Amino acid sequence: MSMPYSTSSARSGKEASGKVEAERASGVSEHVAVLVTVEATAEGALKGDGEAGAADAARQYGAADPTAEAEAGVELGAAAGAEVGAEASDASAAADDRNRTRTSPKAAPAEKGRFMQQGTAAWALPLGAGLALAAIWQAGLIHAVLGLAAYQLPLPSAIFRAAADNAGLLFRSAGYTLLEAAAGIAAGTLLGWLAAAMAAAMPRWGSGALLLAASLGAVPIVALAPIMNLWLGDGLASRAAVAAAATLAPMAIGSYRGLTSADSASMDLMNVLGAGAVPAFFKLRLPSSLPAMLTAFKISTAGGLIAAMVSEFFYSSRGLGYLLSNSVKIARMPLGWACIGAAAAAGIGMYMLVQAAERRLLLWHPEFRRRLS
Amino acid sequence: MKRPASWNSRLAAAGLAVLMAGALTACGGSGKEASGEGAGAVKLQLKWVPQAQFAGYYVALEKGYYKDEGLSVTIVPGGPDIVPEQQVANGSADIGVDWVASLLAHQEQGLPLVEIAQVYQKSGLVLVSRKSAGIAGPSDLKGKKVGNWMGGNEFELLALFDKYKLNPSKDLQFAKQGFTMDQFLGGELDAASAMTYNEYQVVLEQGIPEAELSVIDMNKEGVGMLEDNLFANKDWLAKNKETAAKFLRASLKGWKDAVEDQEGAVDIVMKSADAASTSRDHQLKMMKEVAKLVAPDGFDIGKLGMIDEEAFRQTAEIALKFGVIQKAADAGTAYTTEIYGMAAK
Repeated sequence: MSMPYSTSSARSGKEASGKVEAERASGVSEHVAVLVTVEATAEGALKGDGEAGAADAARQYGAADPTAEAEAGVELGAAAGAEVGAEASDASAAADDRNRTRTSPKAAPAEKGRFMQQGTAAWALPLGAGLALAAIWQAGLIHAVLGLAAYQLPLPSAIFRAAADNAGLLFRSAGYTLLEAAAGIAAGTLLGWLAAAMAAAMPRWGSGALLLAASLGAVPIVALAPIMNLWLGDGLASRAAVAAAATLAPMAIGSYRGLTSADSASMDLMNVLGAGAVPAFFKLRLPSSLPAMLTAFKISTAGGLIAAMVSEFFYSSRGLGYLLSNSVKIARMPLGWACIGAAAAAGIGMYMLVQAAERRLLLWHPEFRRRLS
Repeated sequence: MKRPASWNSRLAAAGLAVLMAGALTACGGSGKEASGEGAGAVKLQLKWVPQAQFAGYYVALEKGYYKDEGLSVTIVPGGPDIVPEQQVANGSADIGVDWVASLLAHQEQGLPLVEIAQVYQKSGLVLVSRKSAGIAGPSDLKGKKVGNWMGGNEFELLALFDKYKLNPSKDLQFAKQGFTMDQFLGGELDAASAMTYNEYQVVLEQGIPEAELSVIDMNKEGVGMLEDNLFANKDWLAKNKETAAKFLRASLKGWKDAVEDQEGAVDIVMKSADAASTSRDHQLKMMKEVAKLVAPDGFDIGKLGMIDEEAFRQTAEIALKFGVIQKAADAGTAYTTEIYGMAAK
């Protein structure tokens, strides 16, 4: 989907502005330049109009003839607006690289700034869509269309009031569920990774372990929860065990794929240099397994949280899952919806945490750098 | 180059948000008209699985009392995740059986429900503990692990805790109890909730003599709330008053038979009960205890199912005081005696 730089029809026109951009970025205004670019692109995107985005962006570059620039963009179709942004960013990435070779202290803030801008753009649309939905919901349009009464779907105002009135309870419950999930995810991740490492190191025995781990992923949580309660009592451990079982399978499969994905040229190099299996594992296989492993980890955190919540439906006396199911049973629908909101927030928080970790761990990785820059 | 990718992910996120909202809201819109296949069809939603707790309805069905009234009645069993109020409100059933506290909470949320008869005149809930746990009275619950099934069954206990100034999240451990007595028998719970007619009998059947048990009775503590009542969907009732009256008349006739011939009632219940999880012996004990709640000592058997205003008021007051409901219940809309009056004719 991304257009290779050299084949872009907008290239000749853009290269100049890219260079200008690079010059500027290496100067004092690099923050501003990036900010302008991203916002111009986002604006264009929001209008659903690649042409406008391109034209806006071009205008921001100070191009003599914005329409000419825009035309170049139109040739690229819908991706035009995005393309302009990408090029500007390539330019500023080049500036970054230059900064870094000069070991300029500016390099770090520039990078940070870029993440922030990316963040704003990524937030704006979902947030806007969410607010619009809440407004439609509050106005009763959803109720009218689907023929629902207020007790079937509480209004956002009632949900917020319930959340505010029960903030302490919600925080305590979310904290407890997160604790269960975190304990389970930690255990599941470790076990899954061990199974994958075994499978990678000793294919003969290990593939059995991998199959076992993967089949655990097929066990429905609903079936596992009562059994774990029977084994481990009604404390935190039984829910953590369910979360671990839900985490284990994606972790094992993802890590295995990662551990066996080191490219053969690098493996050959290791062999030529006479590296043993252990150094080859730590120096090559482990680092090159990280992208697949972290992707699996992202998926499994969400799965682990859901597992912890669902298993609370059965025997727990605490946690978000318990509060949700009990609120609905005793007709406290707004509180139930507040629980759903809190669970979503907890899930998003965990996801962002993993994403931040990924960013730190993978900055060295060529593919990841390409994605970021 | 990242822009196209991130643009895509933004689109995807927005699309996902819309989809999720659609899916969530679509869940609520179930069928409104569930039962009525022709006139006289009534669906009754029980609070729990078929057992002597609901003997009157099974007797009325078996002996043809419903048929005599020209009704075709379907009894729908309940279960741990079935809330009768919600089933009746969404039209899956026309009439439901549940506790009054739970009904009040649902009425406050705007569910279109109204009570038409009070089958149990007393609370059947007790807290049971072993003498060795040292719980002679409610104040001894401090620091103990106390169980309840929750989900609307916990309000009398919350009232009890409040009466004795016990904070359920600080002074004691208030835990969710499973639907067996295993946690109590295994020592996981110091005090367990028990219905006089069911769980308490299970404990006795497990060989623990009554002399070794301490019992806290909600009625004696003044926190007893009315339990099994019959309530109807208001919209359905507005169009089916005659049908409701016929249903009530036949049901109360069934209850009268059940109270007077308990052996015969249990024989009928056993036809519907799950033989793998209960025994005739247990159901007979249940029937004996249930009869004490349906027609307590000194109760005029002719008044079976009557809504006692004073008892209802006390239940509503306790419900308000302990946060089951936020605003005082309006007796005028919470229940109606009209159907009972029609059934008595």
